[in-house]
Amino acid sequence: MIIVQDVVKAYDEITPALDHVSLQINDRDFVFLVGSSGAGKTTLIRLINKDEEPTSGSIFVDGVNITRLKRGEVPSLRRKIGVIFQDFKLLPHATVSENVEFALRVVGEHDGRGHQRVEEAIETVGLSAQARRRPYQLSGGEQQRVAIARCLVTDPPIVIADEPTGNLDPDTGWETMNLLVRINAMGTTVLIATHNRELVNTMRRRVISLEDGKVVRDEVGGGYSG
Amino acid sequence: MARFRTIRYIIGAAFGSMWRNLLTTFTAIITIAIMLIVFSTFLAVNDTLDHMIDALGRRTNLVAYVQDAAPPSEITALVQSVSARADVAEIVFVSREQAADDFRNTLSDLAEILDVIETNPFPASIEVRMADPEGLLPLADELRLQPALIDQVLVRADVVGRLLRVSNLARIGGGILIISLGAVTLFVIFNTIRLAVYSRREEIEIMRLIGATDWFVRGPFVVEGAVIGFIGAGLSAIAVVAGYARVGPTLESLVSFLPIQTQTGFVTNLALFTMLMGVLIGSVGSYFSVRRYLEN
Ligand SMILES: Nc1ncnc2c1ncn2[C@@H]1O[C@H](COP(=O)(O)OP(=O)(O)OP(=O)(O)O)[C@@H](O)[C@H]1O
Ligand SMILES: [Mg+2]
Repeated sequence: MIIVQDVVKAYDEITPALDHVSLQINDRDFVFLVGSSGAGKTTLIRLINKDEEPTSGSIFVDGVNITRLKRGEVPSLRRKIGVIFQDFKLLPHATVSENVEFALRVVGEHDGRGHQRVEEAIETVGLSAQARRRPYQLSGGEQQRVAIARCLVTDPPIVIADEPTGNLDPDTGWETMNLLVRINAMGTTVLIATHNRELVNTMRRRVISLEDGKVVRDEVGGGYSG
Repeated sequence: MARFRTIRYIIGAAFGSMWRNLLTTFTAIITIAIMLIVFSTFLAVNDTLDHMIDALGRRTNLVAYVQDAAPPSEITALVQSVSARADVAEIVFVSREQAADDFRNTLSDLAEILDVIETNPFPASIEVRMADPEGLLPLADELRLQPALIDQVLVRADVVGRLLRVSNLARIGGGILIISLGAVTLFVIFNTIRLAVYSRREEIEIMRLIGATDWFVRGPFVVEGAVIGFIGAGLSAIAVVAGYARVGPTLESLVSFLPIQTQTGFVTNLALFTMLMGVLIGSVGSYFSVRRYLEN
């Protein structure tokens, strides 16, 4: 469960990126976070992953106030949350397999079944043929799918996807969304930031709308009218 | 098992990234090697100078010629009182017969003269070597106050004075140079490592964002730093040992008037010390360079 309580994030003094945001995401929820470019979606995700600190307010993940976490406790928070970053954040020199494998090593789960899990994750996103390539040898969409595979391989209880369909053609975009729906059905909490109006509207899930850093709407079964 | 796998991964990752960043690795190794060569050459030169100064100090630096008429018991008493002084390292009484023998042995070409003149022209003497050259002139003055026993006092004041200046200068200057050169060496090596880590800050950032612990991110860098330090220092050690083997004998023959021996022991120790330092500087440097990107 993620609870965001009256959070303000001001990178500078002009206008805050997040302006008194409060929301709650329960276990097994499937939530869209929508809003136009610059609305503050990525900022919120970075706060939840403790990549940035809120200017004020608190954030709880599974009952733990993460703004109070000590340095040494941050890795365990991040292992609980699989983030598919908007800019992928793939290790540039590592192959597709190595990138996915690395995530397993990080969480200390690269045991006897490690290679099989890596292969399965890569197969799930349909990149088996490209497993030995490096990020610069992949298209944007393929890189995005590596990021998804890397997130899935450790099977985290919470998955946050920042614009996971942004670089994908409609078909692949749909497949990706399908994948996220499936892992949600298996019990994973899923939060998806996107501007993909069509997808959001047809899914009929919970939608949180951000506008200039404020939550302007939070509807179950809602649509995207931004 | 998992831990073993992780350690294996860390070592593998270290070598992998060294291989991938071959140019950086190479630059770092060469930089470390050159800096350590300069530093250890300086240490070796400093050590040799110290030995030369010691050797100079080991030579007799005061000779007092004994009056032929002086009673032996009083001379013995004098020798005992002088040898009791703390600043005297060694005192030798050379009898007239010994003096003649020494002359025969060292200047054999002229030995015939002794046979010609039949009587022994050499006075007995007291030869003193100072532990602390500062006490040399006062001792000479004291001896001169006993004209009944001592005929003449010869002091190698010129040598001693210079020796004192050189040795003090060498000690102070050497100390300052060692510290500052050491600091420069550390600075250059740390900077080299810092640049290498800087070029991979994005990688570090990604590892952190997906939940890697500090030591998981840092491990490969520290291993890499240690290996690079080891290779760089190893090259330096080889260069210094080989260089000393070539230069040492030449130096010895150049200053053959001094009883210095080539200090292979020192250079071997220096080589080992350098290697240890290389590993230490490399790993500690990496540790702190990575820390910058782990904190924030
Ligand atoms: N590191 C930063 N420093 C200063 N300002 C920032 C920083 N990151 C984001 N911002 C600003 O904060 C605001 C929100 O940015 P954010 O990246 O959260 O938007 P977003 O909703 O993710 O947009 P997009 O849909 O384009 O990804 C923007 O005005 C942006 O310029
Ligand atoms: Mg964004």
